[in-house]
Amino acid sequence: MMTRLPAPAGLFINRDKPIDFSYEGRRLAGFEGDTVASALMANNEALMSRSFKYHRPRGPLTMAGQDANTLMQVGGEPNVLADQLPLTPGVAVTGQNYNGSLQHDRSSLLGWFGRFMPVGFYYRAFYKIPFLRSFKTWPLWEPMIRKMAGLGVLDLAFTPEYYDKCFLFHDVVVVGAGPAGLMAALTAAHGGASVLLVDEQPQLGGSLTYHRFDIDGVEADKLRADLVAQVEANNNIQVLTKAVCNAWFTDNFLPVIQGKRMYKVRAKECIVASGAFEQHVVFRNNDLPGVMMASAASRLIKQYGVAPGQRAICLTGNDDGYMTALDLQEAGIEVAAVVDMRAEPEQTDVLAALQSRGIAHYAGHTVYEALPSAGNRGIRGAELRAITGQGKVASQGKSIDCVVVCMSSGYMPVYQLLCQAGGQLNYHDGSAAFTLTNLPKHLHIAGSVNGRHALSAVLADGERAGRVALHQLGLSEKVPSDVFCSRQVNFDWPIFSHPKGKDFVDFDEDLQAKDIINATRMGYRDIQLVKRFSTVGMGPSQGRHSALATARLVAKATGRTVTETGVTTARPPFAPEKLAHSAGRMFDPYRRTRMHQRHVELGAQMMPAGNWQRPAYYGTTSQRQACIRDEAWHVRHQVGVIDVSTLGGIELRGPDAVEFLERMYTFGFAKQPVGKTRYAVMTNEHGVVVDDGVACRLSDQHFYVTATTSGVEGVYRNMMKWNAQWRLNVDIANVTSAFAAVNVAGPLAREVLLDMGADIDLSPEAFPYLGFRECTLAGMPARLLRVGFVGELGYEIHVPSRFGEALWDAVMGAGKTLGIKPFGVEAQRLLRLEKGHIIVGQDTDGMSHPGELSLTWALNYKKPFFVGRRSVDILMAQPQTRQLVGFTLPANSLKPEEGHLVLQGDDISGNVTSCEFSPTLDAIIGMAFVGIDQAAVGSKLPIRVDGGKRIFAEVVAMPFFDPDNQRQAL
Amino acid sequence: MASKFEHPVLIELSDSARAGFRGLAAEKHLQRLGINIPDTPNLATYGDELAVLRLSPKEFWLLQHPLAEDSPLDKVQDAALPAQDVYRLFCRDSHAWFWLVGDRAADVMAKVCGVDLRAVVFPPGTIAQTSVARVNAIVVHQTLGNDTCFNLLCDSAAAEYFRRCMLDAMAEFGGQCMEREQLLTIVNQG
Repeated sequence: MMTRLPAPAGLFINRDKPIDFSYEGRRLAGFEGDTVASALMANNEALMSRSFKYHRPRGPLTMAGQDANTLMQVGGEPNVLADQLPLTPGVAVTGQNYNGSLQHDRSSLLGWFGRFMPVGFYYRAFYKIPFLRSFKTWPLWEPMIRKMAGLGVLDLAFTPEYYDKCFLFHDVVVVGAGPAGLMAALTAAHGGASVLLVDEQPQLGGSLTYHRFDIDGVEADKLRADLVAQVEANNNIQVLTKAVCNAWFTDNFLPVIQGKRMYKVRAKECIVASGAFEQHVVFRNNDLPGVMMASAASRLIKQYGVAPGQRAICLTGNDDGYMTALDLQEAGIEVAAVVDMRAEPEQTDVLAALQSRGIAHYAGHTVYEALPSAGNRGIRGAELRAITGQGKVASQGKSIDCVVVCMSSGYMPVYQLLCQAGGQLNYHDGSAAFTLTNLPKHLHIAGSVNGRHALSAVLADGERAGRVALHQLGLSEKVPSDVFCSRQVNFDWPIFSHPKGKDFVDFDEDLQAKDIINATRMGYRDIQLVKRFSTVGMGPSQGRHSALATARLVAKATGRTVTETGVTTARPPFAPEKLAHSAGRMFDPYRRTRMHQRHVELGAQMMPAGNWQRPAYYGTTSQRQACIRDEAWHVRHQVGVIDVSTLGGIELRGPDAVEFLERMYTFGFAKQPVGKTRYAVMTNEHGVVVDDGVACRLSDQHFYVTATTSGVEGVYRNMMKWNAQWRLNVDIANVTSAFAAVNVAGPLAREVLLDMGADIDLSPEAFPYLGFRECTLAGMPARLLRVGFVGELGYEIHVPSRFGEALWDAVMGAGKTLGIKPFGVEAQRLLRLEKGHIIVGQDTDGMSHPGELSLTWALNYKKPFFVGRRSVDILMAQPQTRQLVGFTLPANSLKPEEGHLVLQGDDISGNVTSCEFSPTLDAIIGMAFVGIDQAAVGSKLPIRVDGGKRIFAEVVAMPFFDPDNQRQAL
Repeated sequence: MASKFEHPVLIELSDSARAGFRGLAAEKHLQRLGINIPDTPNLATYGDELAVLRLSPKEFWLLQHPLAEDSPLDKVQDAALPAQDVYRLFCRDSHAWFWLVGDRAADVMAKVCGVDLRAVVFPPGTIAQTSVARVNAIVVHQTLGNDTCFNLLCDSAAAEYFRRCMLDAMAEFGGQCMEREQLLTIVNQG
């Protein structure tokens, strides 16, 4: 049976749109605008969860998503805050963390054994037995604890949903749309700033949507209507509701989460008007359903039109508790008493208002114990005691029947974002008030987070913050003065420990007052250590309500002030954040050559090469090895073509181009003739080989240098870096994407090019091995390189990339009668291995110098300098420890894989870098780093392969195939 | 006047003419050819036929308006280069070229780019050399009638990826791809 208060209560709900949902399998009804928790309360379902440790019944505490009491299982998603989750038609909600049923949780018996589970129990009991330290008990406990803990159930068949991110840019961002935030936003917007206003609630107004600011209870509604209308009419203000600013990062970079999107907000000025968290009172059974914050009761009434119960007590340390009592009574709820922990209220008219309404008033009293109903599933009354000293009460008290206790001991600023910005939270022991200092220049605070609590002061403070932001933006010359507020809202010691315990400081972690005190007695004096030992503040609510009480208890136990004790650090995120929000819509760039579509049409299996997509081989995956061998065979015996557009390309032009090349690469280029190519090895400052390629000389002042697919970006970056220092007159352009290229390789390669109609003489005499030509080929401007990477007659053809697909078609067309076939990266790797050509990055590592790689022939010692020269000299002068060698194994041997270890006795002397079965040689061939003593031709290398087996390979001279290099020079 | 584009549209112009020049003498070379050069880097001038981008003190890109009736770039391309200090760039092949047109163009870009591209801080004629969807890109703000038009130039090898990212970002605003001919029809409508 749903019970609702009549309008105007229920600001957020739409009574014309009822919604059905289920809770623990029962069909219930709510309204559009309800949260799941408010709808449950409207259905008299106050029991919403079981506590983490003792499995005690729990109900709503804040109704603002700031506690763990409403964590529920919603469909396949666990740990959803029911007081934040909007009610949707048909949603199925269940409790979590219980053994049996939510109503009858067998694990609640644990509460009886609380004395045997003191603070730090887990650390001490589950790891080592004190007198048998070598015996670890955790493996015994773990399965049991995991079974009991069970915070919800994950849907492992979950289908990822679309989440994304979006930047937002504004002059001013205002976090919090309460009275201070609204005023700040309006002030800044009126001054000409573009403003982003962010608030968690579905409607603007913050505390104006639920808090009573005057005896008659009319001011908030009027003010809210006025301010919201102004905001909505202002084009300078963008509003994000149901949005959480989850962190503050340097220079006002703010992640704001709304729905499935994370906005990455950049603002010149940031005003945090985040308000303050109401704090609870520590007394026995202060956690049971029915005991809630005063603001939670007000929210239920004002926002959702729900009565929290039929008879209530208001326990307070400030005048706001009186206002809640007026709210309750106005809603038809019997207010049994207002219990004020102070001697008298700050404003006399609130007391007069109570008396005129016949509400009993107990000054200098507290609730000492909430009296539980059956099964602890609610309360039936409260025992009041007179306060006799700090945390002390009279020995006798008075019981009052009630089903609700609304409590407010004061407020703690919502300081989390400010703490992340480096702000210092200060506590004044005399007034029990907070201040925040040390904020960055462009970060401002306003309202109750700034210690202003009277509504007029809150509004004035919001306006002040807006003006400060305008001043910082240069939109106003006036520097406003501070706003003064004398209202005191915090009671200095709202902690009344009970000898029987269950007086909770931290609801998330079931930590009682004695747990905190015991932690200090065990030597944990520092608040951070208390946190880590006791786990206080480490639950879902992250110390929003436990931090202050903990600081007070630790301060008292250690003989310090709260200021000296401090509070624990607040780190991002402010509220729970899904990994999907952090990930957003993933951007994973890929690059395709202009011939990509042709590869797909030919059945290529694509593989990543850096961020490129390249054909690994052509054919089905089940025929992989056969395809690769067939492709390689074809290159050796007829002709093949491979797309090498991914090869890096760099243009060097200018009077100093050759000097630049001389400095960047190890070889000599000064005497390189125009029309010739030359192998180019690049070392870094440490003498390590970092890339290789071919330098083609187009003219005296013009080189075209290739680089490895994955290395070109680094090479280009290196070149730019060095020339920023050298200031040589050379233009450096990365033209990798500007050229498409193929390598036509095989004994019939020349015939293919002849058929394509090249306008140059392709004869071996006119265009020999290692030559370079510019020509027109099949009507396209082309650069031709005579290369021998795969060890056959070969031509690399580079054309402007717009001709890429046409080039492929022309080659395939011309080669059709010659039986040309495409080959992929895998076949190329095999072919180049047969020729003993290294691949930098695969056959080298972060320490490989040219000597180890047998590349000393590519070092030019006649020139004065190249990058890494000095390091290479030093490395080469040292006794060498390893060498890259070629090895072979019989075809029927176990095949080593790349990375398998080479052994020398029991030591590791190296590793395999490349290894393939060569059908041409009918043997397994490979390269490996080996100990210098193992490098001689004929040595037997022990290699540890899969399964730990050792096989013995024979070191051989490279290349494995065509040692005289006759085939590539045809 | 009202926008001609109710929803943002993306037009690929990669086959449209463009050229680039770099070097100490590049500015003088182009001025000699009658090209109006922006004074400072990251600014662009544009008209009915040609947009001139100054990407650095000595680097200039020329984009021929895809709806231009003539080929003003031809004379620039055909002109002989000075013997020293001017080099042709390969932007015709190295970069893909897109137009993103419509009032919500800046909102679309906010989903893929960290630079504030709202007209109030990124007015027509300004250039951002930045990252768009994690790909290096040049963003140039110009206008097409009364509509915002961003020139987007990115690695040509990443064009397909880039197009997909832009379509994804545009979907929220009802955006879609458009052919140049469709664009021409819309632009020419009174």
